[in-house]
Amino acid sequence: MKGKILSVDDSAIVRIMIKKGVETLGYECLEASDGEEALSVLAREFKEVSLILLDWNMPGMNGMEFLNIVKADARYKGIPVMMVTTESEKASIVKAIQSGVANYMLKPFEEEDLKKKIMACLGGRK
Amino acid sequence: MSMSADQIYSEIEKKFKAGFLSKTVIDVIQNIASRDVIEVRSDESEKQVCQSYVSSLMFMTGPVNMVLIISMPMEEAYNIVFYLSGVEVSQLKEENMADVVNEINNMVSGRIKALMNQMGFIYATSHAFTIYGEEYNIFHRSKLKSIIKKFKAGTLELNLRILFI
Repeated sequence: MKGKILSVDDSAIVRIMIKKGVETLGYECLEASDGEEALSVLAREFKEVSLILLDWNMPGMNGMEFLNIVKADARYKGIPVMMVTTESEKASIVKAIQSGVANYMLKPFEEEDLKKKIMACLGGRK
Repeated sequence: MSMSADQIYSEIEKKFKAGFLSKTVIDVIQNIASRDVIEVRSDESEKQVCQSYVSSLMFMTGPVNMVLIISMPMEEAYNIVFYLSGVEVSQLKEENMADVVNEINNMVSGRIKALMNQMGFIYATSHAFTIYGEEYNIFHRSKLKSIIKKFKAGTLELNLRILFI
């Protein structure tokens, strides 16, 4: 495996779809179903996490709350974050970018598009 | 100039019936289940009686409140999960089946929310939740305005109902 990518989404089905794409790229996929769980995973694995794929609307700690914590923490703030969400309003996209996301993917997505955006976030590394 | 609730409803209905809703549902199902989808004729007076169905409900609050309901046979929801995950249907849990219908609802409502925003109407959405079982009714006052659409993708039959509440 080339490294680890953390997928944060309350939908197990979406996590399965993301995992397929991530593993085809040769990365291990870590999973969390909300922001709190994602923070626990990050605390253990942050040194090996190359990218976080983050849903916006989740019960408990949502994506934006999680993103703000990540970007304020010196240990995590260097990890790129890509939003993978149904939030398609321009204002939401602008807000996410201003909060520090590296890329934005709308659901539903094609696996090939997901993989291209992941590679773009990783700086084209194979 | 401010618009009345009836005027807003009328604007929204016009957009929904002009093809937006049909295209949205068809796109989402084609993407998530890789099936060709067609819209079939629906009966506006039909009651929402569900037998061995799973229904996902989501509230959309804004200038005119809406409830978005997406229903499909439970067996077909399991089949979509099998297609996506490769896990045999016998190994799947009810929560997996409910999850896929909620996610379809999330994707459809996300596009509706964006359209409303383009039209100048700000909407917030609740989390989606599911009702499922052998037989149940989703009952509401008959005078509520609603839009009903039906879609087929092979053996999959999917019903979409938007109630304006």
